[in-house]
Amino acid sequence: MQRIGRRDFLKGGTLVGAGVLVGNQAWALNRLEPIDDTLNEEYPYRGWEDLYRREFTWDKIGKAAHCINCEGNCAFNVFVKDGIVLREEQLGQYPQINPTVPDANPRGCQKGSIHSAAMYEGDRLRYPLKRVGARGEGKWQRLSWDEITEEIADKIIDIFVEHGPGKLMTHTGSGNLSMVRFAAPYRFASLVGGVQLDIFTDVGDLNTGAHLAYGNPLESFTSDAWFDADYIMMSLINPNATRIPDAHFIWEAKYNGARVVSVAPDYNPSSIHADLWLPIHQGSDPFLAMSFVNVIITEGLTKPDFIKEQTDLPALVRVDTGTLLREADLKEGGSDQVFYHWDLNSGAAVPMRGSMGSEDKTLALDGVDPALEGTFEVEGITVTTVFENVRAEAARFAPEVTEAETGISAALVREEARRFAGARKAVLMHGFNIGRYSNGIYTSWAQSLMLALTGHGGRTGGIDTSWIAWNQPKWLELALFGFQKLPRLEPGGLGEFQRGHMMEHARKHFDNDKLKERVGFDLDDLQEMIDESIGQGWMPYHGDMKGLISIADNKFRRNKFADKYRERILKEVEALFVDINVRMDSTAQWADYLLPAASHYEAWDLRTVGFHRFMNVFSRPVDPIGEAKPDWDIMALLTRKIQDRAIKRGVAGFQDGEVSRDLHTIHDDYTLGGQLMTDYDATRWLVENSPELGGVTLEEGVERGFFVMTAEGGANQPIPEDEPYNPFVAQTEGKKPYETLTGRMTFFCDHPSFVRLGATVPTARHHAGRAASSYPLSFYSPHTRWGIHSNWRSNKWMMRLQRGEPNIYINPTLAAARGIADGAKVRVFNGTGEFFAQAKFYPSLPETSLMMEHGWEPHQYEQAKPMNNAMATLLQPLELAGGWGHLGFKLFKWNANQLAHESSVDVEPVA
Amino acid sequence: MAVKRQISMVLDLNKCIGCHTCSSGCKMQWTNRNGREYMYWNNVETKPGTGYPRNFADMGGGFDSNGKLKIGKEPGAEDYGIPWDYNYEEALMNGVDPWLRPNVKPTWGANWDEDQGEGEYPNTHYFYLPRLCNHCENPACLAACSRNAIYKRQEDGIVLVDQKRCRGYRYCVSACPYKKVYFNEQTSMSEKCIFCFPRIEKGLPTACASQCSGRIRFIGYRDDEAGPIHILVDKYKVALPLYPDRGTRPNVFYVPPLSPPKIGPDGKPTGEDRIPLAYLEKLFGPGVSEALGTLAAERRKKAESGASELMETLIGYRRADMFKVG
Repeated sequence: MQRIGRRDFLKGGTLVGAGVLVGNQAWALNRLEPIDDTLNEEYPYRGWEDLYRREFTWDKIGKAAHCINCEGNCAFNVFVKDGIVLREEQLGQYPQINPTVPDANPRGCQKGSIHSAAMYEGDRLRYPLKRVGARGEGKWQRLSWDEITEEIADKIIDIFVEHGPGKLMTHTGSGNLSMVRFAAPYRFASLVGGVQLDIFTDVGDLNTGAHLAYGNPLESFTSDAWFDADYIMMSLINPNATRIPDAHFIWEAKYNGARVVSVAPDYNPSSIHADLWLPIHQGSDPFLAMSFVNVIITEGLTKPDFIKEQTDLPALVRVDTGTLLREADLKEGGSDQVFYHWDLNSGAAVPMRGSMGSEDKTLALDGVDPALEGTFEVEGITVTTVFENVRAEAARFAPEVTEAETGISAALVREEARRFAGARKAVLMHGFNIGRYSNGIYTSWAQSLMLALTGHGGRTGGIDTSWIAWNQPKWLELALFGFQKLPRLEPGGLGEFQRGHMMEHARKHFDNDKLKERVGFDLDDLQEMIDESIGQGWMPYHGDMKGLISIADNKFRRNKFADKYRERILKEVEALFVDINVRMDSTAQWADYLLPAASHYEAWDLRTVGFHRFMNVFSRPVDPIGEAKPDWDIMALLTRKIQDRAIKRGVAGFQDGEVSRDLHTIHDDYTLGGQLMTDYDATRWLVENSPELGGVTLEEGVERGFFVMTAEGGANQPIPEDEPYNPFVAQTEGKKPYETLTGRMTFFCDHPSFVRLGATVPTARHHAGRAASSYPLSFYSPHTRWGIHSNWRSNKWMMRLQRGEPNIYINPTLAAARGIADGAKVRVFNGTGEFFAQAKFYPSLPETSLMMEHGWEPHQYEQAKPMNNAMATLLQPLELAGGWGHLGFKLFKWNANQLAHESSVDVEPVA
Repeated sequence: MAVKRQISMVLDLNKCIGCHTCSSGCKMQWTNRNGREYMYWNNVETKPGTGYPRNFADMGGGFDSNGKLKIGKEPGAEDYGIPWDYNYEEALMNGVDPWLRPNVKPTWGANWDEDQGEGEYPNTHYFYLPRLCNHCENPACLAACSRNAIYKRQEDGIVLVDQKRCRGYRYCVSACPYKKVYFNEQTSMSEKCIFCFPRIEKGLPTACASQCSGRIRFIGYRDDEAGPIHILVDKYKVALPLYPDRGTRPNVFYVPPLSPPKIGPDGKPTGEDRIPLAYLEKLFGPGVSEALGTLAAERRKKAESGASELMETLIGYRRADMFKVG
């Protein structure tokens, strides 16, 4: 690079005009090869062009997507030459499902497009490694697969022999979301009864408010269903950065006539294309949503027919106890899951159909006209409606009242609420940041209410929760060993909080009194409610572990109070820590054994997790690098060793509750009696058995690069062949009950935790933030466009388009006040910890906040001190509720998030 | 037209999401090797901003109003950004270095001022501008080449630097007002975006367009009256060249960005666009106002009547229709 400068012999030249140059004696070579005007004549020396043509050649093209925790899931062509991946390119061949809807092509992003380079980078794990120094010291010895799996197998058997089952964590992180790579370690966990945390809540991804309201946070829109919306609100989401393959549908919807509104504390990369940006104060989203509700109700913008049929708003509530009127209140031995509405036609309370306790599984009213307003007497009990309760609560949140809290003018809120209410199809888009706020559940619940009151559901709108769970019975059967045995599933946020002893660290950060004012509970309340939840069996917690097998998980990156958490976990699993990974991430670094896994282009697989109906195919375009193996094969080998060693050591089954953990047959069980020995076997088995593929063969899928899921792929309702997938159409049109206690959209919850926190109906609470701790600046860490969590975060091709090292975003005015220059090193700190980063000016951020995109590897920071060292966390106790209809531990649906945006920090320049 | 046919590209900045998938696709296709590592034949920059290379728009080049070539400044290595490497082995594999870091202290890069823009909170503004070689009608690089080693292909108007006859004088680098010709120190020749001619010859769109996740790019020939380029550039005049005042007559065009209204002191939208019109006119010339007006009017028309040829073209219902290459 420097040579450009040294050879700069023309610098300062003032030659003007092409004619002067051509005539200059200095360019004698011109006369040897005379060419006059290359602009108007055919150029005579074009043979050299083959130079570039040769660079556009390859030996073969394979197919793959990327098995990563984004919702992209994008089919790629993978170009291979001499056994090496040269490059990849988006396939771009998805069929248009309807001429009035833009097609989904090409789908992809910059991370996927440089994976061909990332897979050969220096951080790639190529060989099985055993630690020879202290943990984390970086001293490794190569072992053969045979040796290393035998050592690990013996240690696993030791843990079973010494402690019995239940002391092995076999956690698969969010890095394995393709079907075979996901199924392999889950199947292993099912067989050994290993602890598996919820991968939504361990990173704070779960949209609990949507579960509370709809009974299913994983029923959402395919991204092409955004296109016919006429109102889109981006709320806690920045899709231009974090939903790259799908974002175009928003801007195409805008051209199609939609109004697009961005609600965000910073003028983010999605706000720039919106019709309106609402610069909301960070964390005040529930107040804005409740103000929308207030305007909708007070200005009569509601849709009563929709409300009466689809929601619990007509449900009767006892005035004396403040709880729902239940059959058990009226009849000896009556159900506590049957509820009532007041029929205006008959003038009597009648049971609502469709609730969990109702045998009549429909929402159809069939002549009943439920009252929304009023007070009634039912067998001597005075009752009113949920709607009356909701209206009373919403009355507290007039836009004029919340203006100071949200920073959004009352007049603007009123205007926007009217536009929203009048929309034909309104989509409220949520990103995964919503689960990272303690009041995210309030935001989502109140927004669900906004939608319900205005008749937006099914084809006319709803919440986009950024995730659709498709109906794939054979995948689950493979992953969970035919449901004969299960892993020890555990709530993610709760498990990490407990196991990481995070309460003691939280107590050092938060001011208990201020915290209670802000979020409605303090840490003592939280501790009580954790104990209650575990004690009541609402949420399982499996206690201390003895060994850890970590698969595609970067737990020492994602957990708060980072260094303290790591020290605690390493001490706990002193006996065994195996990391199965494609690269040396900040968790793998601390392992005892490293097993190198195949990357996206090196294994057979399938993937549907995403925003669309296409199941992409991974056709193993190249063999794994070095001695790496596909996850499926690694588990096959590991179970082989466990089985062999168990037999040799005379160890058989361990009774574990109702099942036995049969280490002496574990390989036969894992491989289905030898049928599923490899990634290819498992892929083929899934294709041949999965009804949602409609009998298309694997060969055809490989040829095309993807399968199109048939109607059977829809979990809540069939996937329509020629139109986008809208959520809950089965409910709005088919009158199928929601998977909620009342069978309807839920806006009343009389669970004791909700009663205790004054949250029986949607309301607003603050997040903790600055006002609940002692540092002056808010801090938030949204997702980045440059990585998927820590994946590709340290890749040099990506880093060269950033600033080469972790950076924080800071408003220039704040920076000036603190003596911080753009590009300078700063220290960000609070009582919890500190980290160093480069300051990057971002005028679109308020002066009261720092922002840092999350996902940097701890080992990328100076002194390897990560951002999460200064991140304090807590849990939202409402999310620990159970034993109440649809509230209770449900993997990927209901349990407590690890929160990320609750702490405060300060910043200073570093010389 | 000097050439028989001219291939051309339109980029809709209202759909650009700043994802850099174009740059990444281009990089893996052409510039991750062979002395090209520091180059971004296609880059995406945040505007207002310094651009890539740094302050390229102030480095001169192009033609003056009399049509005389102006040789501008040649960017230095720092202006492009030094492509730093990492100590993956030492930091992660053998415990020699305590943490992972670049081998040179990063002080500038190709996307250094990403998302910075201008203005004061809450009335800031920025947008993304992807840039490639404009394959101009009147290429300053070609005019400046004393070797006559730069030419426009007759069949598609793609501008190429002959990689056999180039002698590395770099007049082209200085003369290009867009700084889209790069000097390859390994080969001692200048190189630039070749509009993926090996792909175009096979009927495929360029790598940057093929991989554009935002679906912002249209490719076609200028003389194809049924194609998207004609509709956007000539019929509706919503696609404009960058820096038309530099006299090179680009064949890459941009649909200028709309922006949400400013927020007034009363907390209400003022009705004034965030991006100053004068700024956009500096970039895209006097046609901006009319283009933005047409976009707004056609959008209303589409919302009200359900039909607008312009909106339907920009939506791009079928991606295949966005590229008329064959």
